[in-house]
This record gives sequence, C-alpha cells and structure tokens, in this order.
Amino acid sequence: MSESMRNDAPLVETRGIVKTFGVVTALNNVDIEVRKGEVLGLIGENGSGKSTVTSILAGIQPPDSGKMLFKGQPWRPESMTDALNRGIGMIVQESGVIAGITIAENIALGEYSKFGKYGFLSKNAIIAEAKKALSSIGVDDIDPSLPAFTLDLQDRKIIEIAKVWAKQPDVFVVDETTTAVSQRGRQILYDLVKRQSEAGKSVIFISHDIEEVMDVCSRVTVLRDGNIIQSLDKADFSLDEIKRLMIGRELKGDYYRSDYDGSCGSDVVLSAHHLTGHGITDLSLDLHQGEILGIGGMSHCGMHPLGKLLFGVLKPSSGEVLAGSEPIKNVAQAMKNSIGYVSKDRDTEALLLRAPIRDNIVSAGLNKLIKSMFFIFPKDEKAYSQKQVDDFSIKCSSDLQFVGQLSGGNKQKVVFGKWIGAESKILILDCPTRGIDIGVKQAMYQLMYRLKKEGVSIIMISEEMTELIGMSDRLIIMKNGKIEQEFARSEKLTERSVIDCMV
Amino acid sequence: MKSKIFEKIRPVLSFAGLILLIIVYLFAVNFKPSLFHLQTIIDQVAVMAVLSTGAVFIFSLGSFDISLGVSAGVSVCLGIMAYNAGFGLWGMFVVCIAIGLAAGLVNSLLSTVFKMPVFIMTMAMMTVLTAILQILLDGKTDLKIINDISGPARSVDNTWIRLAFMAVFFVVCIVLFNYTRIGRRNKILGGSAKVAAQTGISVAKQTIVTFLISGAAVGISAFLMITRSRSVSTTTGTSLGMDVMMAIVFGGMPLSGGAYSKISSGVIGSLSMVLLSQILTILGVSAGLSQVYKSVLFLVVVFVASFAYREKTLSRAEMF
Amino acid sequence: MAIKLKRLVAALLMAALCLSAAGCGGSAAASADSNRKYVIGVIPFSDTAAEQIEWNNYLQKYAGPQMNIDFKFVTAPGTDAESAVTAVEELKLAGAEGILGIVDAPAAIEKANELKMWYVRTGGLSTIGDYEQVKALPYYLGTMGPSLDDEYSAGYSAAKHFISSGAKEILVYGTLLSLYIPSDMHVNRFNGFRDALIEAGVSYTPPESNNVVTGPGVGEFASGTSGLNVSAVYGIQGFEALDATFNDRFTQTVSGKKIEAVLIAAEGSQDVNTLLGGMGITGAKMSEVGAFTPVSKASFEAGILDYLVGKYPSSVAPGIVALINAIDGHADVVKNADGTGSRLAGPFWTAESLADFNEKIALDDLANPAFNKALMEQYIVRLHPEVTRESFAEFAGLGYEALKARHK
Repeated sequence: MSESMRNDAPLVETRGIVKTFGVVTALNNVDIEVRKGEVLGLIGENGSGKSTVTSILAGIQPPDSGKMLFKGQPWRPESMTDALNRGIGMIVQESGVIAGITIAENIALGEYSKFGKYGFLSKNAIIAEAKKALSSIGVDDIDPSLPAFTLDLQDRKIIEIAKVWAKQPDVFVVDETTTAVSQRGRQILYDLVKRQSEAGKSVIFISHDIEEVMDVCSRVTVLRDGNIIQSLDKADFSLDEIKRLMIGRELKGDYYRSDYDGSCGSDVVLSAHHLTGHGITDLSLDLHQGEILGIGGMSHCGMHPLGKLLFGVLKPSSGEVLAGSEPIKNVAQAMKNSIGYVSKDRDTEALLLRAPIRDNIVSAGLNKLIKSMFFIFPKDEKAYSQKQVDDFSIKCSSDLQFVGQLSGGNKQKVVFGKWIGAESKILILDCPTRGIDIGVKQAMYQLMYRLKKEGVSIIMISEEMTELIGMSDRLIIMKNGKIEQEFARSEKLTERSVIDCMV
Repeated sequence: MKSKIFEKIRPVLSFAGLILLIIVYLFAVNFKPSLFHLQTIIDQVAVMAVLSTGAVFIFSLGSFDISLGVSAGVSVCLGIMAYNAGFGLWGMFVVCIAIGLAAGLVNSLLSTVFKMPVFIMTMAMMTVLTAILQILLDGKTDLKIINDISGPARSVDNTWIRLAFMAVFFVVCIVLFNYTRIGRRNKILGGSAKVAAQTGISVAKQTIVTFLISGAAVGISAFLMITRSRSVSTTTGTSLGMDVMMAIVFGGMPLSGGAYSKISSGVIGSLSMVLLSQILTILGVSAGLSQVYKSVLFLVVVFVASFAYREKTLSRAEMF
Repeated sequence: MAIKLKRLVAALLMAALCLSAAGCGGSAAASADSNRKYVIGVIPFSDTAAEQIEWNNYLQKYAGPQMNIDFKFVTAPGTDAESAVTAVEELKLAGAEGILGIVDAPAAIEKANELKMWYVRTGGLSTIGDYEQVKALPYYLGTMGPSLDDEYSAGYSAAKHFISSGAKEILVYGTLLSLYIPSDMHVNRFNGFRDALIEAGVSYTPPESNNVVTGPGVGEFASGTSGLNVSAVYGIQGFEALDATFNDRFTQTVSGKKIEAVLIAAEGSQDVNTLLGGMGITGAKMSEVGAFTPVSKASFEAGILDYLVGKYPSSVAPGIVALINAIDGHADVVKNADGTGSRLAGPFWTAESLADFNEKIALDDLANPAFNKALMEQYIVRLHPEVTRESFAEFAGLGYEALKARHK
C-alpha cells in the first residue's frame, strides 16, 4: 500500500492553488485538505475565495497554477460532469436548473447517452431514474415528470441536490453561500451531510452562516482575500474567534442597531390601501418617514409580491399604493417619488450580470445625470459610479468590471449603490442580506441605520427573523397574504414569539 | 490568463480587422490608392453604413429587424413616385424619411401592442412590405426617375454629398447612443428586460424611440440609394437587410446586444464589408465563390465574438 | 489563446485571398496569338441559376484561357440597380476594360460609361425602354443574344409543338411577375403562346388590370372552335414569401383539370411538376424557354420536359468578341452605323426530345464549344481586318445548324 493511500491521508488536497481574475487575486497559494469522514467547513467573507477553490476542485474552472490530488492521484477534472463522474460532486451557488424541461430531464442532464437507444431517449427510464434519485434524498412528493418551472426557485435546488447525490460522490461539496434553499432543502442537506460523513466519505461545506457551519462541520478552514488564515478543529470552535479570523479584526461596533427606540417621523411617506392581488388580500399599511418597517413571514406568505406591488412592478387587482398623496401605478412613478427597490432575485431582476458595475449603478440615476436637458457625459457617469463604489467599498478591479464576476456581497452593494446613488428616500428591500456574509452584512445593517437617521424610510422584507427583530422599528408578520400581527420595537421581542404567529 | 488578454483586445478586435482589411486592400491596389478608390468606397459604404448605424439601436436591445432592407425598398419607391409627381428633390427626401419613420412606428407598435418578438414580427413585416412594393410597382419590374439625365436627382449623385449625409447621421447617432439616455436605456433593456422594468424603463416607449431612429436611417439610406441607382425594382433592398446584419456583427457588436453594444459597429462593419468585396473582386475570385469566402469569414467573426463572450460568463448550463 | 485566434483569422483571410489569387493565376498560362491580355468583368444576374453557372463555366474554363482573358467576377450578382452599380465600380477597381453584363439596369450602364468601360448586355434584352435610355452612350456596345422576335418565336413554336401533338388540356404558366409589362422578353414569349393558341381556334380576352396582387391575372382563354381547354396562371419567381399565395392561386386555376401540357414562359418545369403532382396530376408534358443546362437535361430524362427553347453555355461568346474588338479600338463593327448600341440577334437552340437535347449540347462541349477559339478569332478585327459590321452581325446571329456547319 502506497503512502498516499493510508487511511489518515487526505482524500482530497490542493497545494499552492493560484487563481486570478483580471487584477483580482482570488486564490493565493491555497492548500486545503479533506480527510475521509470529515465535514470541512470553508468560511470567509465575500471574495475570500471559498467558492473559487471548490469550483476548481469540482471542475468548473481550472487553476492558474498549483496541484490537486484526489485519492492520492493527480486531479485535473475536465468539466463539472467529469468531476462528478469521478467522485467530486458540487451543489453550486447559482441555480442551474432549466425551467422549460422536466424535473427528470434536469436530473438526467448531461447523461442522456445513458438513457438513449439509437438516438431515441427513453422518457420512462429517465423518470424512473429521477424518482429513485429523489427518493434517495428523502423526497417522494415531487413528480419528476412535471416541468421544472412548476417548482418555485427554492425547491428547484432540491433537483440539483438529487442530481449530485444520485452519483454517490466521494466528496460532496455544498456551496450554501448564495443559495436560495428553502427550510426543507436545508434539512435535506443536513441529513445528506450526516449520511455522507457516517459512510466514511467527505463533505466540503461552504456557508456564510457561522453558526450553521459550527453546527454542521467537524473542522473549519477560514479564508480571507484568497489566503488560508487558519483551520480550527471542532473543539476550538468559537463564534467570536471565527468572526475575528474572517474579518481580520474585531467586529467593532454593533452588529444590528443597539437602540430600542422605535420612534420615527409621523409623516406617512408610503401607504398601501386595501391591496389585493398576487396572493395578497385586502392589505393596508403605512410607512413613516425615517422608519424601518420589517415584514416577515414564511416564504409564501405574500411578502415578496407585496414588495413588488408597492414598487409598481406588479399591478394589484384592486386597492392602491400612495407615495404621500400620489398614486404609484408603475415603476417610473415610484422612482419619480424617490422609491427604490432591491429584488430578492438579485441576479435576474436587479443586476445586469453581463454589464460593468458602472452601467448597473447609473441605471437608476440617468435622470440625475442629465445636463442641458438632454445630454449625459461619460465623465459624470464615471464620477457618479465611482462615488458609490467608494462609499460602499465595492471590491473590484475598476468600476468597469463585469458584475457577474463579483461575489454575492459585492453584487448586493452594487444594487444598493444603484438606488442610493439615485437618492432614493424610500427603499423597499427584499431579502437585502441574502447570500451575504457577516462583515458585509454588518456594514449593510449599519448603512440601513444611517439612512434611517438621515430620514430615509425603509421596508425590509426578510425571511431571517433575527435581522428583522434586530433592525425594525416596527415588524409586520404576514400569513396567507394578510397581516397576521404587528410588533413594535422592543427589547423583549424574541424570535420564538414572532415565529409562533408565522406558522 | 486568456481572459486578461482578451479583455484588452476585445474592444479593438473589429477595428483591428478593419485595419487588416485596409492593409490587404492597399496591397490589392499595389499601394497606389487614388481619389477614385476613396470615392468608390464612400459611394458603396454610405447606404449600408447609415442603415446599419440605425440598426445598432435595435441590435442593442438584443433583437434584429430583418425587414429594414425591404422598408428601404418601399421608401425608395415612394420617394421616386413623389419625385416623378413633381415634389422635387427635397420633397422626395421628406417622403423617404416619412416612410422610414412610418415603417419603424408600425413595427414598434406591433411589437409592443402584440408583444411579439421583434425578429419574428419583422419577418412577417418583410413579407407585407414586399407585397406593398409590388402593389406600388403595379406589376412593373421597375420604376425609374423621369427626366433622369437633366433632372435635379442627378445633382445629388455625388460622393461628397453622400459622405456628408453619412457623417451627419453618424454624429447624431453617436450623440444619441453615447451621450443621452436613449443609448443607456437600450443597453439596459438589451441586458435584461426584467431589470429594465424594475429600473423604471418603459419597454414600449424605448422600443418606439429605437424604431423611429432606425426608421430615420431607413429613410436616409433610401434617399442615398436613389441618388445612386435612380430606380426601384421588386428586388430593391432585399439583400440589404442581410448585409446590414452581417456588417453589424463584423463591426464588433455583441450578438445579444446589451452593455457592450457599440454605435461604431455599423460604420466599421460596413467599411469592412465593402473593402472585403472590393478586395475579392480585385484579386479575382471565381464566380460564386466570394459569397463562400464572406460567409466563412462571417462565421469566424461570430465564433471569435461568442468566444470572447463565453470567457466572460460561465453559466452552469454551459458547463454541463 | 486570443492572439492565436487573431492569427487564425488573419491566416484564414490570407488563405482565402491566396486561393483566389491562385485561381486567377491559372488563366495567366494562356496562349494567344498576341500577348495582349484582356480584363473583362462579368455581372451575373444570379449566383445560383443553372443558366448562369453554365455561362460562368464556359467563361472561366474555356474562353478565359483560350482567348487570353482575365474574367473578373463580382461578389454579388446584379439583382437590383444599386448592386449592379456597385458591381460596375468593383470591376473598375479590378481593372476591367469591358463588362459582359447579364443585367441591364441603366444606372449601371451609365456608371460603366462614366468610368469608360465598354458594356455589352448579353443573353437578350429585358425591356426596350432600358435599351432606349442607354443606347446613345459611347461605351455602350448593345445587346447580344435572342431578339424579341426570337422570344416570340420561342413561345409560338412551343405552343405549336403541343397543339400538333394533340394535347387538349393546356396550362399557360407565366412564371414571372414581369410577364405583364414591361419585361418585353417575357411578354413576347407569352404573346407567342397566345397567338399559336388563337390560330388553333382558342379565343383570348386580355386582363383589365396588370396589378399582380389585386388584378385578375393573365386574362381568359376560351375553347372557341379549337377543342382545346386552355387555362393560365401567373407566378412570381424569387419571392418565396409569397409562395403560399401562389400555391393557392395555382391550385384554384388547375383544380379539376387533367393538364396534359404546360407552356412555361421561362424555366421551372420541375417546380410545376411538383405542384401538379401534389394535386394528383401526373404525366403532363412541359415546355420551357430557358437554357441548355444539366437541370433541363434532367427534366428531359425524367420525362417532364418535352420541348426546350434555350440559350446554351457558349452563347455569350459574341459578347466577348464584341468587347475584345471595342477594347482594341474597333467598336464600330459592333455598334450601329449611327454610333448607337446595336441589337444583334443570337438565336435560341431548340430541343424536342432528350435525344435532340443530347445531340445539340454535344456541339457545345467545354473542350470544343460551339463558339470555339478558331471561330471567335475570325471576327477579331485586329486579326482579321476584313471583318465588317455586317459580317460581325452574321457571326453574332449564328444558329445551331450554321455553327454545326462551321465546326467541320
């Protein structure tokens, strides 16, 4: 038996991996190793390189230099499919599910040759195989013969999980950083991670949620700016220590806001009157000047369409939205009344991924850039976007970099920059910290607080109870398209009491 | 690493292609270019350059209007009819522009009202316009300017007048595309309709504005066509539509529009196409083969363009 | 990688250019009595028409090397006036001294005149009006190929062919939009059909309007005293977009008739056969006024085509000789005595069966075509100063039998 096949030898290791994008060094001499039966957590801020290193292992992109070993042999996967077939399977960040084909076809994607005879695909074989794959992860209530679009975005993740799990990979890589995974999907993942580790196989688990990582993993490696900072064994886990390692400094100041003063201006800046439609029934609410109004609930409670109704993206079947006394019937009117909206589906609805940062930031502020009635000058644009890049410390080689190349947190900063740059006075934020890690999250919270103090009114729609409780002046919990209960800001408000009224 | 280098050369790739063609052209004319060479290039490029510069606005939305060439044909026809009816040279110009704008307006209204994909809708439009052209020609194969030899239409058959029209239109388009909201909004809309909608951009309004600009291009290019051929036939403009599409792609326009749309691609591409044609003829290509060369080169350009694009954004679907 | 790609593009372009340079290098190895090398441009009417391809073959493979001519082909055919003008300009840049045009857009011919390039319209003449507009231009030599009388006779003889063979149910298929006005070429063919039918006792009422979209069509034929049933349908060639409309019209016209013979005013027997087949009508015999090409040969072989009046590969030759004479400074033997462009008739060939077709086309073999080097040289003034306007016209008007006689 060769040395490399010893039991305690790493199943997978990388040595001196380097990867650059433009002038940004994503990975700088990164060595990681994963042993059999281990659940390795990779943690770090946005842009720390944690997703990059796993994407290289899983064959999504090649490293610029460095070596990788898998089962003691050199590892150079040609593609994601190749890596998966040979034992390393990854659940990726972005949803790769194709909406227009069936769930079963999605699961079989890239493997059609297995089901074909003389160029014809056997639909039944594909469906049977998909059924097996789904039930192997404990899902029996999804009919794989239906088109994928019948599932909502969060449940589509389950398709991905089933697809990878069906291959029984030796190394199961879960990138949770920007995933839109439902509670159910999350539970499935936890079960699979446990099963994988019990079977003596390995898991690499990436998440922003430090507590989740501490819970799930047996060891944690912290990355920062493309460098390995430290690895900690389970015994040494400590929330503060990991935070410190991630950020490279103590988290100074407050995470959420520290005051319990729920007061705000008395002027109603935005109001909904008997809104009905898109899953909402006869809903009325007021947003006051300088108020942070939290809206929470289960993901299907209607709070996400509510954000779109308030911004004029969706039209109600009855009822109306008023900004002060002006009706909001479409997005242009909303913007004219200084309303900004940050969509939950950032990559498809808020950002042009195939465009530079600058184009994205100025997109909402074109009217502000007009000179002499008609003209826009590139130098003004540049100054406008550079200001947002600086104000939000967006990590990029320049504001001409592709937004699609940015990490989740930096993408979100671009969206914020787009609306803050346009001097929005009312912000409707749908899951503003989704897929963002802790350092950036804190910055976002502090920014929201600062904006509130400056008189900006904010509606914060979120599925995370802690941030809603932590940030809101007033918290509305929705259920079945209606307001279930309203809570004022209070020290005594607990997650328990809020969740009780949600379900 | 390759993305780094590509990043740098991508914006100038089509320009580099044009320089290469100019060098080959100079070689083809034995490094003795004359005023005649320059005039011929301008004469031949004007129509295509104007039309494709207008078409860039549509292309930047991520769509293409296949009926532009035939619209120009109808515009030429009515322009000549106006001239023959005694409206004079400038009456003819006004009619050409009016018809171009009308065609653009109809196209944009149809696509916004019925929410049809522009490309499909303009394909249907092309059939309709072809029929209209035939009705206008009233069964004849062609229609010519009357009093051709002595009439004022001759007076504008002049290279420098064409150059002036082309230059003025190009400058106006540069301003509209790079220095006003129109170009910005088109790029956003071309990038993502959803994002545009959530950024307060009216798809309908923007589509109409876009088609009016390209309609003006149709009108001007129709006028320039009349100065050159002084006649219209059932086939006028039919090949122009495809040429414009090729020119824009040769000129470095991203295939899907959006943020990297360039207003210069119409002019650069048209120049490249004209030079390529002239080079192939001067060097003496076998009959029928030059189309093959052109098409192969077109495929190479598309390949390079899409290669540059893939470098940028690897989506999962492409990886599998 | 990117640099490699760029190189690839450059290399491909260069390779393409080298290939084309090599292509024209072949003709440089030609032999001729004189070292004079002629550069003649060709403006085809189509890239794909079988007739044009046959002409191109003759020019590139025979006339070029044999007559020491460098033929330049333009990148796009002269489908409309604008592209024909562009073609003329390109040919000037390519150094052409004369143009063999199968298009007659006045704007293009005027451009050629302005650029001092001789222009011959070969393959016949579309409209008299176009000719009248340009005939006085100094560099316009005139038209060669079938005259309008030839076009009329072609139609007339085709109709006679079927009437005498006893066909009772006859379809007149116009093929071209330009059947009405003012394409005199096609109008004359149609008039030939019409008059032969009238002679057989058919009566004819012309259409009230010529509008192709709204008008009634080609007019009405009635049996009269003839015992013939004649129907007529017009078609539009080259406008695929209107195919559905055309198919409906065709179906309506033909429906319920057992068509035995089809008179086509141009090419298209295979298309008509497909349309008839779709309606369950088989075995109809057809005539074309077109060209001797592999396509028409196949139609004969398939039993579809029964009568062909057509041009043939080397029928463009008189145009070449006209250009050589003009370039040499002897345009006068080509042009009319008053200095205007001439209209020199060059008759069609006729094939009444596959055997007839094969026999005729054998005379126009690419190795030794009907208009071969020896024959052409006899009418080059530089070599034979005795050539006159009259003898040149006679040369341009050589028919099948005369050519056959000359070959021996």
